[in-house]
Amino acid sequence: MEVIQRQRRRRIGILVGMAILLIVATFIALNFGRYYLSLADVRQTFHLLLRGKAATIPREHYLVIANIRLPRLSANIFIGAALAVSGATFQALFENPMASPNILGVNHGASLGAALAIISYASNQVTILAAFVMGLLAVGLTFAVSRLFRMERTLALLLAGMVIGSLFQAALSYVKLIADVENALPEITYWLMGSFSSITWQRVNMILIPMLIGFVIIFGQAKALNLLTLGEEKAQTLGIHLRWTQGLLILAATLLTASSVAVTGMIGWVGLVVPHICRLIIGQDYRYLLPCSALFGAIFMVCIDTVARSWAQTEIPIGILTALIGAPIFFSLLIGGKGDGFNR
Amino acid sequence: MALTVKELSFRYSKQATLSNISFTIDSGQFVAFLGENGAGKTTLFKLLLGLLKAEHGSIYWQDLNLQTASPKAIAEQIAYVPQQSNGSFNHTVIDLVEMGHVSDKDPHQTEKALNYLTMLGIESLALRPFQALSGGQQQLVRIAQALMQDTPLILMDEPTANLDYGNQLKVLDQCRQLVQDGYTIIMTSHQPQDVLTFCDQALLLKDGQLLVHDTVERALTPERIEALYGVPVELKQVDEKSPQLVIPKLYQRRF
Repeated sequence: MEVIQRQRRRRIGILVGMAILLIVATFIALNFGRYYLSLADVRQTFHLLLRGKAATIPREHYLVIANIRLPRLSANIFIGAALAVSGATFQALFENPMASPNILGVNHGASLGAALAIISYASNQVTILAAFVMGLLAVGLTFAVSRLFRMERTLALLLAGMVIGSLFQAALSYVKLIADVENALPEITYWLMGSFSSITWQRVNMILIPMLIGFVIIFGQAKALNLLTLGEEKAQTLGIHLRWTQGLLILAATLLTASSVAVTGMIGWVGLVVPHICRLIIGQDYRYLLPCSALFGAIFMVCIDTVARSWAQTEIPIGILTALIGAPIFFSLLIGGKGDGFNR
Repeated sequence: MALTVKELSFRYSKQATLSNISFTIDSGQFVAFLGENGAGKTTLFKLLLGLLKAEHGSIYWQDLNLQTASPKAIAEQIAYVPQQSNGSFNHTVIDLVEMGHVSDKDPHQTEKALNYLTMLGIESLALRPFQALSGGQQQLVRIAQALMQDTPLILMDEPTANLDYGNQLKVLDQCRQLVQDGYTIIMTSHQPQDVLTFCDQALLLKDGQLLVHDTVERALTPERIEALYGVPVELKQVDEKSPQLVIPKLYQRRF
């Protein structure tokens, strides 16, 4: 009994440690960027901001911190957490630790939506909205198509996701083909690589509500997610209303992914790698795994985006970095045989 | 308390999987469903668990209509021990057992889970990852998870499949013990000998029809076993207190 309680306390300790780490990482990241600010400048600005004396802050410092770096870091935190949590959710839904947030085609839908908006010279807001709506539409179609297959529900969804994803991908290729080579095509290409460079408070606010809804639903269903990892039949015999719970969770995880992709473009690997590393750190129990993934996803994104925006003269698209870092980490975990999450 | 099945029929596609099955099982019994592969045992289990809806007929556990009850209501009455592994996620034993707790009340889940592990003699495995356990230990963990559900009725799908000889007997002995403690257990089995040794009643299914439902001694006659599996057998008893022994007549090739 004591050993078990000690293990539970250790899990809570890990979560607290991660929360502290996130705060520290965010504060350090505030100091990085092309406009030089000393540590003292940042501290002073924060002090004055917290005391409501914004007017006394040097104007440039205020602009850099409050209007550029803070919204960007908030977006890093929200989106890192969202991608990791939705990845962990899809992994339970599909009883497969290798499932990623894109398993139902949300990224492909969002990409097509953004590309269509870009070739019609829509405003940035419209592009975000189009990406969001098309992301949801792709998942909706996947869901509808899967109902036509007479097989196990998760397998049907997986296959339908492949079908719909491929169709949207083909449509995206066609849009790229007809896009204006001077302006639209580079913009689409850049959007697909993913970036936080155009984040403003306004954009953070746009995704706040769908994200909060997604988080609340998923965290509230942590116990159901645990049961779903046992397989559909077993989960149902443990009292889970399968169709209702699966539908709700897919909707919530899709809200998280679609709103992330809509504002930043494609950022791969986070949803796959972060929950996997968290399984090694804190175990399989979703009541702990979800907050752990959220915190670790946020830390991961804050750190990587800081590198993306301050490493080189021009900003590196973050999708490139997450793949560059994520793939080798994943590889080394598999090679090291530490795939404790899935010994099969 | 009883499980009452009346005129139950079910078909997957055009071919009937179960046709017109009726039986009643009283509580406190250890019951086995026997039949060759494809006879309809698993389908019948799924119908009892509310995982499938019958085409015709009714299934009641006491007053609860298992065809219309919510998954939660069924989960409070019937626990299910499936045959395969517990998915591809490597939970710890104690976490898995606690997941069996279905009602929202009772905060002392960990203590309760540990008690069941102790009762089954595997409390030392509490913090081990499930996939690191042997087949027999894994089966005991699944049983502990089912006990955690606090249901009067437990369904087990071939509880001894993939176990070595010793573990097969230990698991069945444990089931017998649970029946003596007041549980009702229904299992599917491919082993007439196990059923004759440990169970009270047997239901024999053939091609979706109920061949017989009776006490094991009356149900499992040499003729019926041969009809069921297509192999001639004879039954022998060592003394009055021993169970019937099933001896396949194929031994004649060797002796």
